Amino acid sequence: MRKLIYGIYPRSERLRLGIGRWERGIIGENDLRQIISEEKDQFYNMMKVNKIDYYTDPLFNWHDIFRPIVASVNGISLGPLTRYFETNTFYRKPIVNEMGEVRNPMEVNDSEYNIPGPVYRPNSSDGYLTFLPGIGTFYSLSQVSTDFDKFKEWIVEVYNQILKTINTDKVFFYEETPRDVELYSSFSQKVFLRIPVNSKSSNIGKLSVYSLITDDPYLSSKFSNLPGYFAVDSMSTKLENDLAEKLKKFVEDFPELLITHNNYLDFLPRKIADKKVELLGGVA
Amino acid sequence: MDSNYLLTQEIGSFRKPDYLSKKFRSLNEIELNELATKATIETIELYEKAGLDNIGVGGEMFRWEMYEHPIRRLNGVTMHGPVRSFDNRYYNKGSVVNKLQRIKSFHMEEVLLLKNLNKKNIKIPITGPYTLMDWSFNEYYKDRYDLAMEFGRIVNQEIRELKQAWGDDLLQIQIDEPAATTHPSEMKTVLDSINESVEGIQGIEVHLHVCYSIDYGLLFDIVPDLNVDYYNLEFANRDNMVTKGERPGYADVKKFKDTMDVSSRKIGLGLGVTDVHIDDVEPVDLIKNRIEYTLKFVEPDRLRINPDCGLRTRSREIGYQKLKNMVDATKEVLKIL
Repeated sequence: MRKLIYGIYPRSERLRLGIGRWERGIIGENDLRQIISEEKDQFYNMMKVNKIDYYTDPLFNWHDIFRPIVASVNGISLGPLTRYFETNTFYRKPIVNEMGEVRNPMEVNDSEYNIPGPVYRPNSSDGYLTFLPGIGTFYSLSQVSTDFDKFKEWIVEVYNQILKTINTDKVFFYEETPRDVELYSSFSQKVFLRIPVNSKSSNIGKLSVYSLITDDPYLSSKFSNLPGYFAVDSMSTKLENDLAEKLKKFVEDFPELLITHNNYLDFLPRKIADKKVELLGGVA
Repeated sequence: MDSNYLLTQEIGSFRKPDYLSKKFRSLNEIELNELATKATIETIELYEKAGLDNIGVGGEMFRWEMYEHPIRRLNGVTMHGPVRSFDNRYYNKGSVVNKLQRIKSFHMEEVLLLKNLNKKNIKIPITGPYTLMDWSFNEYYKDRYDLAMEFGRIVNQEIRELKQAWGDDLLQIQIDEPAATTHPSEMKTVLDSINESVEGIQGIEVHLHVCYSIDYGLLFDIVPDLNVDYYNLEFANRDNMVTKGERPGYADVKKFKDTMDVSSRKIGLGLGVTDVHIDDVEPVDLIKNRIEYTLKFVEPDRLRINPDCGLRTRSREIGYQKLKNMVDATKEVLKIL
């Protein structure tokens, strides 16, 4: 079994308070950067202690899954607060007016609605994946002044520039509303693609990625080398104490299986998210 | 002119004075009661100075916010910590892990205080069963419907108790359901759980407050079956600030009129005329125009005038000015009715 933790990870109380103090001008930008950096160190250490094979940046300085990308690309602005699918969490809708130039995400300092700091702080480990919002998701949750075909060409170019700047060999795409998923086969990096439970019937076509992550490892294995499986529920505080038992059924069919959570863990309180990481890590 | 024409009301929350908000979480029950009472009385004075016909509960000074306040008065819910609402804003989302039981009234202090102050024109906001369900993790009940219905029974107990304490006079209850239209496939759950909340209770006038909906049409579809008398809705936030001309934010008023026409129950509209998310104070003429536009569709005895939502996010000064302009605009309209 391999294990993966991806996406926005819940902020600790210390970090929430720190950001609040920075917003009110009580502490400076450098103080906040220091807190974020220390919190990320602790997160990476937690990955190591729990023997998590793959993980993305915890994205502690991301207010939502689009915000820093919006800050890195000219031509995208921030729209109104909008409900994130049927959750009680809100994001600022990206308004894509023109397909502009990409700024170095490692040097993005600040924008009107974002927290200072580089978009990513990569970890030198082999398990580090660069997180990017899925292309279909980006399109469907934004207000875009063009059609999907034009948008996807442009965003693939944007993503390639970001990945080249970061010099990463592994990328994780978070896709909630998949569309034309074959285009993920075109990236030169090892692609980890997460698609939602209800997308089995979506047009997967000739998709070929390193790891396709969904609720059905049999489906994933058809399109990827390392089938991924949603083993932990990130929308419930109930702990999966029977996880190892539940996974036994896959042991014979899959010499290698990547287990993870079904959505990013920011929908949970921090202490529950930490326990779910321990549970995943504890699976032999 | 009928004295029931265009009654003005607030929606619920109002900014707490610093002496209360800065200490709220650290006060013991006696201290909280003392400071919240003082703040309620001051807020009522402010409302009366602005000229409001209905003073609600004086700004919800006994409540920190609308979810955690009732949830902390229940058995069966565990709090594991905050989850994000947006940006760096978080709320404590409870996990329902056992059968729910109300262990303490949610709002009795407010009702008794208002009764002792001999205030008659009050309206009690109560967080609705659907929103309580939607904002909780469900780890005990069979499904979301069952949990919403259980919250409906809990809210029903609360309203019964408040009504009993209030006595024979009519009591206005406002069920707050900001989540009402967030899951279009669950409108039956919204309908049944709200009806459960008021089932069999006599002597109350039921208001429903919904705001920032992406589709009021979903709500209007169930209105004929809802046991609700008034719908207090947000509109100003969707409108422009131009005094004369089109009123794009109020397009749904016409749909509400169509709903009124097919409802066997006599229902009314609480019209949101001031945006609670901006500091700009809407001029009297603008509010007047919004009311006049609405009167083309809704009779004045079925129309009440209110802010879009609670004013807690504005300063007390701006909140007061918004209410004052709202009342002044209403008086201007009343002169020509």
